[in-house]
Amino acid sequence: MNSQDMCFLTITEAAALLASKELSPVDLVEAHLARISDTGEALNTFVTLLAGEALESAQKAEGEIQTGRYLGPLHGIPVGLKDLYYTKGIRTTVGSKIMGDFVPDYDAAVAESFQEAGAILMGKLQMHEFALGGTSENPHHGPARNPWNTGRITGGSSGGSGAAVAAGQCMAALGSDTGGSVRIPAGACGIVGLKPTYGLVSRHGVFPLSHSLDTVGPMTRTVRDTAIILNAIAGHDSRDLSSADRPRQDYTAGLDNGVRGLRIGVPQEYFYDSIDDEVTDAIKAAIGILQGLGAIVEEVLIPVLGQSIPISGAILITEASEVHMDSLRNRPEDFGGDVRGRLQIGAATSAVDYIKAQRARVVFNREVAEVMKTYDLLLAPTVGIGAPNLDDQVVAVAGEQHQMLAVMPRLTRPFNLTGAPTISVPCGFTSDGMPIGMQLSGRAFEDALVLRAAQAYESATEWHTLRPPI
Amino acid sequence: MKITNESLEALKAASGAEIDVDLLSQIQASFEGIAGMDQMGLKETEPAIRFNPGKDARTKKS
Repeated sequence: MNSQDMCFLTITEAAALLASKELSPVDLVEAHLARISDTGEALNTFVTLLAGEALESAQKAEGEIQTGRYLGPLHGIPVGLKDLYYTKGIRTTVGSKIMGDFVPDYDAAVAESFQEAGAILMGKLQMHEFALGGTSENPHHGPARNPWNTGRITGGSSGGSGAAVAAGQCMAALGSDTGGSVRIPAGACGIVGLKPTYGLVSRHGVFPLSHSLDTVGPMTRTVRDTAIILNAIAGHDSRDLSSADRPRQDYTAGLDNGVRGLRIGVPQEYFYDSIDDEVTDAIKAAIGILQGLGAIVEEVLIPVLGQSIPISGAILITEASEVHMDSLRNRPEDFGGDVRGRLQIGAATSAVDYIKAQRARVVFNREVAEVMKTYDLLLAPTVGIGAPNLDDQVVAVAGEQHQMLAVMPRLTRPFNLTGAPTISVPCGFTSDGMPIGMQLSGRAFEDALVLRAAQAYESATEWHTLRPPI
Repeated sequence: MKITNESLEALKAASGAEIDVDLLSQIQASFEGIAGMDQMGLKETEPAIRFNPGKDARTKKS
């Protein structure tokens, strides 16, 4: 197996080879470092590359495996972390100038989980400044670039994570998802991204964007690999106020049970109001495949979806502004213009309006929950267009001009409001070669069912097997 | 809902930065979106804000 083929193994495949000692963690990490060396400059994915530390960890893993101390499917697997996860002694910029020199003195809970599982941290990954935007065009570190076309954006805010996984620079990465920041870059870069149920994965040691919406999510090239990551990071943590105290489960256990008999609703409003025809066509084709696998797919009406952006927008930017108010007052020039503008909108939003939005969120969720009494899953596109060009401020969607920063998170926000587990899986390409993603959203804490349906779809298609041209 | 000169001045003081015409229109749009929630029948609904006593903070510091 050549070095590049090694980088495009799935975690499942690599873990089998590592466990049987047919593959060395050192060789695997060296292959990934070579891949980063070849493609890193073009993609601008890493804020901090930890080459020496990764090799050292790989040597340790090799020794452990050779002496019979195999820790499980992440032992020796190269992973990356979005640069908002606290890493002890390692710079954590949150994509900003303001925190450009910040070095945490403790690890995020999920970083601890990765270490306990024996995963190898390759570095800290690019992101939209303070995770407040869907492009990953970062004024301080430059833009993350899409491996399917380096003239295009990656989506965001976890754009470095999406591009690094898609390009074979690491086998998995963690993003964070507040308004779509895992699913948008997953869709735009042609990989799998899961926003778990709010509260399922600890956010201890994750720099906040919006407390009542933030989630931590895996990004991988296959659904099974996402389930493996979720097994490692899910679980109660008293250090996170939102953490749910529920029994641990094995998210790989029922993956192959298929979708026969599952009821999938396809909301007709909102998601198709502003979307390119070729994205609609890809979703229709995906629906056909799921029906062929035995799922019962029906159109549903959920009028409240039209309130997604006002409600989520008011909550997100108000909570974000509170986080950043000191910097906004004292050093506003150190923010990028787009982020500063949105924080100013949050600063202008009154407490009365914030409470109103949180009240509206309850009504929104009640109406979606009513629909979910009938349906196991909702299905929708992830982003209404293929990834646009870098530096585009305005993009054409179905022939109409829209602000790009408004287009990217439009279709993901509803599921941040509900807090429901929602996955994006690759479901096609645009005519100019950019990936298209499909979302499947379930009921709260039914993450396993979401993964199972996504696995069924993935098993019936080959989108996940395609490699970007870089 | 309209932004008054007084509220604009308060906003500038609060956020510490200039507010251009484009941003003002975005703020206006945000306010209109929030005002639009009134039609959702919110009066009998408790806001989705909760406090769990006895739990530590999510981050020790930042």
